[in-house]
Amino acid sequence: MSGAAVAHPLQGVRVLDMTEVWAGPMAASLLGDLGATVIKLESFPRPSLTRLKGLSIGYSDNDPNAPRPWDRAALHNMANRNKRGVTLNLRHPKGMDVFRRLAGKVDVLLTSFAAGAAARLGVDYPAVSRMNPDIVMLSMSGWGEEGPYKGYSALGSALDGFTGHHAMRGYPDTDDSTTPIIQHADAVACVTAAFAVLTALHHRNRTGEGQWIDMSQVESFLPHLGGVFMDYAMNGRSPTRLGSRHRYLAPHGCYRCRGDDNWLVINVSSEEEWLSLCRVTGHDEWARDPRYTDPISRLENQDSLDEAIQGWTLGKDKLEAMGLLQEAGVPAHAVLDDADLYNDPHLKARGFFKKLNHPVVGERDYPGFLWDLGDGPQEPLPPSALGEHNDYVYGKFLGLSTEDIQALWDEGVIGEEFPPETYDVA
Amino acid sequence: MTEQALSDVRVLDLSDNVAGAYCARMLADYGAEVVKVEPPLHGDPARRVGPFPADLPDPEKSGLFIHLNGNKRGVTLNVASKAGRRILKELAAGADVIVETFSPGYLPSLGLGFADLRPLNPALVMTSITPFGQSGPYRGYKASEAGVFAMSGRMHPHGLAERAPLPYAPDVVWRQVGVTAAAATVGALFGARLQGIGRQVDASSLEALAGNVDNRPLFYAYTGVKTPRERWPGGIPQGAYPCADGYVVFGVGYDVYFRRLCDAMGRPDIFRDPRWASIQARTRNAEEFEAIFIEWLMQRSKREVFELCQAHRVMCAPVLSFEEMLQDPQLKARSFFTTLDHPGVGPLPAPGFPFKMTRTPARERLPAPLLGQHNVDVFCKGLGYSRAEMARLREGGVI
Repeated sequence: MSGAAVAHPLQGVRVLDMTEVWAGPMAASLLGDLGATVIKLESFPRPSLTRLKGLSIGYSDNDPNAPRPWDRAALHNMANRNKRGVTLNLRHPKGMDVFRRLAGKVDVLLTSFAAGAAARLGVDYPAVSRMNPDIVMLSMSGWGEEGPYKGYSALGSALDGFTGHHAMRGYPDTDDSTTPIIQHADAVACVTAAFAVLTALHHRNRTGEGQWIDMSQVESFLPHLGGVFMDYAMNGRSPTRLGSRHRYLAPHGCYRCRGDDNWLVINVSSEEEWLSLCRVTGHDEWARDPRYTDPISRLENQDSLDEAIQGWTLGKDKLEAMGLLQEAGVPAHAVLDDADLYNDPHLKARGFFKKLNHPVVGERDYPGFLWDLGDGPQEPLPPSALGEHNDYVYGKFLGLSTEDIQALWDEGVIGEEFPPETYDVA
Repeated sequence: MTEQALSDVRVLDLSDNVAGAYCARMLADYGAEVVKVEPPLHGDPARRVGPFPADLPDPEKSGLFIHLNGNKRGVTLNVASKAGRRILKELAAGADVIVETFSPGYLPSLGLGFADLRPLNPALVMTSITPFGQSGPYRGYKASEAGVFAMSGRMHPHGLAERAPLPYAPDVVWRQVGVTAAAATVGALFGARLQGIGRQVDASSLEALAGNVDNRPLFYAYTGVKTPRERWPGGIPQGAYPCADGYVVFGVGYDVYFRRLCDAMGRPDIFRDPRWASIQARTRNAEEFEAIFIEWLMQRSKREVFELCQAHRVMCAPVLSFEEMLQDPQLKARSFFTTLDHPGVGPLPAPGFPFKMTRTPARERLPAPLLGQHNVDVFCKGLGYSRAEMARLREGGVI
């Protein structure tokens, strides 16, 4: 490194992040990754869902009873790098005053309140635009801020149902109640929100105009089903569950490998790949077998074909099999689990995982950036502990006096620990 | 017509298939002037992928291509030919953004890599979308959508413990990659405009997936416990439950939500019952509760359940078909669905835009281009080639 500071694209842009759970917080982290200064404003003393005491959120060292449990949840810390974290009680008059000053000093505000809640708190767009007429504000919700479902709320799993995706991704022989739930709508909303804010900032750079973005997670995801939707629009055909199979191509499946719960995906889409598969597996006779001579016969006889292929994969390590097949130009990919991912040589070579030192959790390896802009190695800020940057943000950034900040601490407008009466309620 | 947010942005879309095309479509929907560059004769391979009307393949009627390439103009160009390289450089000199999905190293081998084009256009943003990124041991690996999904760590926990892991619906993962690359593109463009610095965006599909996750694999790094492949391990009810005419997906774990659900059912006594009074108790006695719950659900339609539960602020939604979505009062009230009026297939309904910008909304401006539809527009009017030169280029297989 030459030591010269790289000018990140969003240097100088200030973002206030009031969102919760995954999609919004991660979107704000992405803006931080691009160089924006991001302030994460957390409600206090009411904990956000991802800080709340509960099950299955991954406490560090697997210990929910260690001090400051709200700082130790993987679910929270995953989506909050590259921000400075503060707390604020917006229901306190002094809290609202601090919010007004913050809103006046930022370029972007992200919120994910259920529709109506923002208006009740006085932080909806009409109110915020009076505090800062040029602000870019994005509100994300399940179904949007307007319309008959105003105020309805759901997790990404239910939105996956509403868009029909839930019914498209199970096993062919099971029903919707067996299909596992996923939070994919949040992954999509996260990157869509980052795109939306950046697009609005681009417009503001040219014209000076801010604006409000009303983002419905259902609407962000539905265009992703465009191909199957067009089949419905053109032919009246509704999508069916195919599992790992493909409508036109075979072999196209997920095959069990040697060991415990190890799998390999093989997707053959050309004659060349098919012949390579036969050669590498030592089964040239498949290529001559009348059941498998052309794509149509392979599709018709895929049950026996899949069985034959699994006969080969069962004796192989998934990574070894992937290497052998890839070397011969066959698209084969090991199904990596969490531990495999951390050991993956490709992700290691690209420096994907980032060692971050969280003030309470300590040093851990975090999944890293979604893209590389070629600006050299980056050192993201670790996710912050509750209220960790109260003094810095309210003092240095906002310019409040030491006495005023002390009064906020003393009156419980800000804090860094949840009182038991708001925390122990799950 | 008001200006759109990206009206001053010129994009060259050299991509094929889904991820790159969707990335460029996002830019186009919000105003960018996008020119899609396809190889002569056959064009983008997406033209050969269905759905087609009545299942009759026709490169000008692919539903996939039409949905991915609206709001773009289209030209043909053989970028590997000598004249093609020259023309591409001329186009690149006037572009703000290039979106491309060639294998790593291919464009540099033609003298068209970022390092070659940047001297012509110092503020150029070149978004290179690949399965595994521009570097690293897997950079030359063949890829499929399910394959990249498998390697991202997201497939392993998706399914039932005793059965094979499952992919998502077709194209869903590639579209997520496309949006991710679009966000990175506008981010880099911001720097290009304000600082005059061009950048190549190395958009690895693998990393777009592996880095955008709920709590895995960080859960593993924190606890040493791998994410299991099973139904949701948290409180109940979680997941899709049957009702009279379909399924409703619930996400109800914590007491506060469970209490609201019991109220919605008209059974506040359930929450007071020690069998279900805490999240741990509900997990232990899940089956007994679910029997009562499903009996209640089976007496109601999914619409009734949805509205009753949402009125009690219980997080849930019905599993809908496309037909039901087209009639959905919320999506109708927001005018979500648009009409694609393409000369090959006629007017068809299609999912609309992913967010509403109140000042600079997205618009349907152009149907997806026919192959080479805008050659004259772009090469003659834009770059100043004569009709005679165009004829020679056509004969030489350049366009």
